[in-house]
Amino acid sequence: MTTLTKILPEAREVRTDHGSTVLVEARIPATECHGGVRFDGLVGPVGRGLAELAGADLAVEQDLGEAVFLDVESTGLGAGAGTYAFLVGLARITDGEVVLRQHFLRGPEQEAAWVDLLARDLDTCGLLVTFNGRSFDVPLLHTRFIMQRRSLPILDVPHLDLMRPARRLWRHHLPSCALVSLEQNLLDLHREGDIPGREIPGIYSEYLTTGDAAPLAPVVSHNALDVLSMISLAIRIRDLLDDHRQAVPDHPAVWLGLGRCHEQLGARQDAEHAYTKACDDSPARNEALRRLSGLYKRDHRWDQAEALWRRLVQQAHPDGIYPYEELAKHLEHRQHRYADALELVDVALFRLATSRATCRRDPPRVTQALQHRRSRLVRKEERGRS
Amino acid sequence: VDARVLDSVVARFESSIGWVRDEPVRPARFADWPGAVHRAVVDAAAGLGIDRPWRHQASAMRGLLAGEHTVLASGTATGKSLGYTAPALSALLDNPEARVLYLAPTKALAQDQRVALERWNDALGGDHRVQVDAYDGDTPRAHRAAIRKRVRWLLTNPEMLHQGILPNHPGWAPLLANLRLVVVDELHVYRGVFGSHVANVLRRLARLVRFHGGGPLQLAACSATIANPDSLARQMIGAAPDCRVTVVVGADAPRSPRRFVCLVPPVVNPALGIRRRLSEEVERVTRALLDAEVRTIVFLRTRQGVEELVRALRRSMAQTEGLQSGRVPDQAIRAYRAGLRPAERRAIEQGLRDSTVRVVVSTSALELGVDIGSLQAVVLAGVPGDLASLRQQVGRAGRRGAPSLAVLVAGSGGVDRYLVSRPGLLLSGRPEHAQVDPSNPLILREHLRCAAFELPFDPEESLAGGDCGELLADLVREGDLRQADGRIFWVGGDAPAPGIGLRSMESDPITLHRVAAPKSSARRRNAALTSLDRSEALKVAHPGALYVHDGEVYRVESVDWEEGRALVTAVQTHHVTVARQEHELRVIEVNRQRDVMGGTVWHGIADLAVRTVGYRELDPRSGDVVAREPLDLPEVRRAAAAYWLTLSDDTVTRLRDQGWWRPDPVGYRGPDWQAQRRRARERDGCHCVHCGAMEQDRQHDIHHLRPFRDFGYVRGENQAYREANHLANLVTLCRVCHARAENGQRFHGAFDRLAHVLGNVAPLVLMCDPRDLELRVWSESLADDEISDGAAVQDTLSLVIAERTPAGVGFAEALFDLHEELLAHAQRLVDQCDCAVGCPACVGPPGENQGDGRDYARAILVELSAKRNVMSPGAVSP
Repeated sequence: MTTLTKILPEAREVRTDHGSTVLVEARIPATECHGGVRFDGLVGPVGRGLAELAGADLAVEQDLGEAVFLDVESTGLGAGAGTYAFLVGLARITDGEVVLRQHFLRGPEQEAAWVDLLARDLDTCGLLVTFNGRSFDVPLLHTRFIMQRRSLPILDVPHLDLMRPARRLWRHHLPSCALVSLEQNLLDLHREGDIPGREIPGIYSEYLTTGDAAPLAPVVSHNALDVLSMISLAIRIRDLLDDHRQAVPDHPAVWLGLGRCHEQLGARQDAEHAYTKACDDSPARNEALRRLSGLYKRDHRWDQAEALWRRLVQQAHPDGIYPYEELAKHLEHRQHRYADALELVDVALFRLATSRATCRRDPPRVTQALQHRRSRLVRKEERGRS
Repeated sequence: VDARVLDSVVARFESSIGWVRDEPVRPARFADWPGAVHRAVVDAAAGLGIDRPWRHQASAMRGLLAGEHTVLASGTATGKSLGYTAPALSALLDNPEARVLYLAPTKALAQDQRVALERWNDALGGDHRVQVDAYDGDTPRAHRAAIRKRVRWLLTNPEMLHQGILPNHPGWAPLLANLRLVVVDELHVYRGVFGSHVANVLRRLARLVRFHGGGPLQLAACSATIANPDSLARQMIGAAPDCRVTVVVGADAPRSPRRFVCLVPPVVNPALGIRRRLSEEVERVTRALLDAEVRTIVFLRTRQGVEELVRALRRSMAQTEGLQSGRVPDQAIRAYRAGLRPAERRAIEQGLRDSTVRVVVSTSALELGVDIGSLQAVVLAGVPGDLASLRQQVGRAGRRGAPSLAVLVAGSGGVDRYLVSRPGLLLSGRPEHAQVDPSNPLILREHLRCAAFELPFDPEESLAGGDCGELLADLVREGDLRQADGRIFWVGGDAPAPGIGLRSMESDPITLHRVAAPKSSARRRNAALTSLDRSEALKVAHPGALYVHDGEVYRVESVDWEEGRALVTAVQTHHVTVARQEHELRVIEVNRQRDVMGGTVWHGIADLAVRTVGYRELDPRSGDVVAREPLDLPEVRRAAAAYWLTLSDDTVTRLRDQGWWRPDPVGYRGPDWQAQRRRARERDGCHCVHCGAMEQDRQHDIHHLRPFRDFGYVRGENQAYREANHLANLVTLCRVCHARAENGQRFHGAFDRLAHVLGNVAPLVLMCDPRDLELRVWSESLADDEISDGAAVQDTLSLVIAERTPAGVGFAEALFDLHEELLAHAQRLVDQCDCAVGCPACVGPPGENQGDGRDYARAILVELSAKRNVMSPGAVSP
């Protein structure tokens, strides 16, 4: 049988008032890189973009370098009083080092000691960073602390749940906003031999029954990797939102999501920049062109908008009838080129009728609106000729 | 609608009337508000039109305000809720931290109570409002967190407590830490399996309240009239014997006049003694009430029965109203039963209030105190499972002070006939005992798993009051629990509660889904029609079965028994399907045995196996079988607690010598039988003389009007067969009518007769629902050889009464202990039955080949009773 200390040489026993518990500690120089991002890049304020995307209780000025990163592994996917958190990974930057402390629960009977040590570790936390911690990690720890008649020190601490900005940025543009997907798309990190999260409860349960710690090794490293990736991810997202000096892996979808967020936040220039980046390549190109053209339209930069609409119309597979409609409006109202506009409306109607275009809006109503526009154009054109 | 309209409807059934009882108007008796009721509550009550409480309400209030567990047991519409509402509101107003938990057996009732409490809130006004929230499966997830924080009076149901609240109790700390009062409404519903589960859920609740630092729980229970409100309440919360429980029985509420009529379906074929079908008679009565515009609720025992009546009523209304203007829309006749989706249920309740719904056909789901406005008439199809339910259902009529009518249409079953001939027992007889057994090992085991998930077990801690050590040790061995440092922890992964249903022992139901119509939306496609217990599904939702839901007929296309999904499509047919099931029974454990007069009685565990081997599709109007299909479905096995009786060899020998022991069916019916049979068929033109159905692929039966055996034919000795097989004594019957003429039973001798009598009296002795028991006469060896104590189990005949609940709730053991009382009841039933030669209500109908079945029963009862010598053998002979 493999004991815990055999697979985790860094593990040590820590005595508390409620018995002893296991702590695995590692220190990594903050100058090291993870996913192409240096850990010490963390130091600096949260920034406006991240603060706005992440939620209310985050101050713009707060130093991300003081944050505690937290990730929990549990005995069940659901919540509930009998679901234990058996491994909590905590990381923070102290004196030029990333200090990673993993609290391991050897069995439910030692939870009092485990909670005691964890409470001491969290006591000094002034900013918490998690991934999906608002709905999972923190409520789970809250439950564990209640079960031990303790109060969780981080309940009122500002909490940056990276899941929120990630979802707001890329929900529509990346196949998944899970941590692993973000690692791949933003950090170009590809885990090898990683253990799927859903298998973790079973492994721990097996360990409790057999006492064999060997299968736990990949669980512990999975947790460590989660915590470290959160650091890199936080840096990357903050820097993406604040300025674009940061090089991002060649991934237009990331830019597209970023552009939409900037647009929502009212940062026109940043949005324009992000959309322009996203226009470079398909499949995000059509969506990016369309959004960028909308941006120009609202700013009355008609020439630029028209150029984009024309570019869209010239695509082999333009997205829906949007560019035809917009271009027709532009030609009708601002350039008074009724015949050209009429031609575009007819193409749009043809595309709708032959289902060559996917239409996101209600097709009958769109058709109706187009026909309305068409008859008006016919009238205007006749009047113009007469 | 006034009393004359109701009288005129009754008058149309005059020839069927068994008896009529007019329940007198009862005046109200009032009391003063107890001093400890909060001033604001008294003022609010005045605002709601309540100046003073009735006496029984005030008694309940005093018990609760004194901090005692209190049970208020009285009839429907006696204002039980005020009895707990006033003290509970007082407690909430006196202490701003206090919380109240209210449990109703149905979501609908909890919602109804919430509406009622909001009316109280409006009357309390401003500063005195208390936050009331219902929390059930329909509560949107987004609202749940807010409710957990703010709620002061939580309304929920046992399932939600079991699966939603207790496993997540840390999130409910504000409620649990300040919980003082638990209101259990409709306490009488919590009996049998359901009650045994809920008693364990309440024990889990009390355990968690202790953990969160809450005080000892106080119980406020409301119940229909039952025999043992005190002991049931004690068992529900596991109260210590010295703990005081205030019991308030009876009511001082006023009652409006109610006429209670018992209808016995008339004999429609005097020669065969066949009565009109119960369902047909119920349909006629309901139709008459509908025509008279009386708002009516009909209670039926089975879900299928509900659906079939709705269908029949809609069809008959469509036929007649089609000719007239003002056609009654289908919406006016609605089915209400468990398994309805919430929106459907609310729509019906609303329809009743605004009169768009005129007839509601219901299973017992509506029996609970949901306020559905004033109903003028109640129709009961047969006596419901127990007297408490009967009184509850009858109490549905006339809740608003107007005259009302209750009609009981008697079924042909034994209990029905026994009870309808005794209206006194029905109306005012001793109510039932509600039996629960929270320590049933199968039930307790599941709750120990749940409880361990919720909070580790301390050494010596127990849940049901007894010693749980052995069960806990089992669970540790199986790996769900872990013992360490003297405590026991849950290590079995996700919460066990969602997989444990409270209302049956079965945890994985079969859900019925409509096969997607090509154009239907995804939401509609995936909507489940309803769900069924597995054993019920095997019977009514096997592949090929016709299943009726809300008046629509569906054909079951396929069933995935692993996934628990059945696919159905709507079809247009009036056919029905009947599953053929084979039963097998084997004793696997003998717990107790004792010799009694004439034989031995046993108590132990039997293994019951049911195989569904095929089904028939019938045209119910003609009784013709239109299809017969084999099925190969998974066998359902279960262990059941059982009582059984075997006879000694001496007893069997004596009965055989006297001619009462006829275990073999009559075979040979004389040399002219085939010829006479053919002549009778030709004479009747191959039509059933009762229903007129034409023969299809199977020849109809030929029935002896006077049983063949009566003629005393002995082959080679006499020619009595000639008289027996005379054409005047023979009629042609289709199989269905033949079964009805014989009442579906073949009686071979004394032992079958005894079985029939015991089957009739056992529910009365136990005060349980007949459906809680399953009776079998088993002619093969019951036992495996390896039964440990080597008991010589009779290998000829056993009379087995098994509990339907796995492992039982104590009925089988009670029968073992009450064997002599059981026989005394049987004797009384046989002696007092007013039938001529035996009927379903006593020993079963005479059947084809025997004389008075009661003589057989008397003979065996003499052998089994101590009075054997009083009656000399041969005094009566067949």
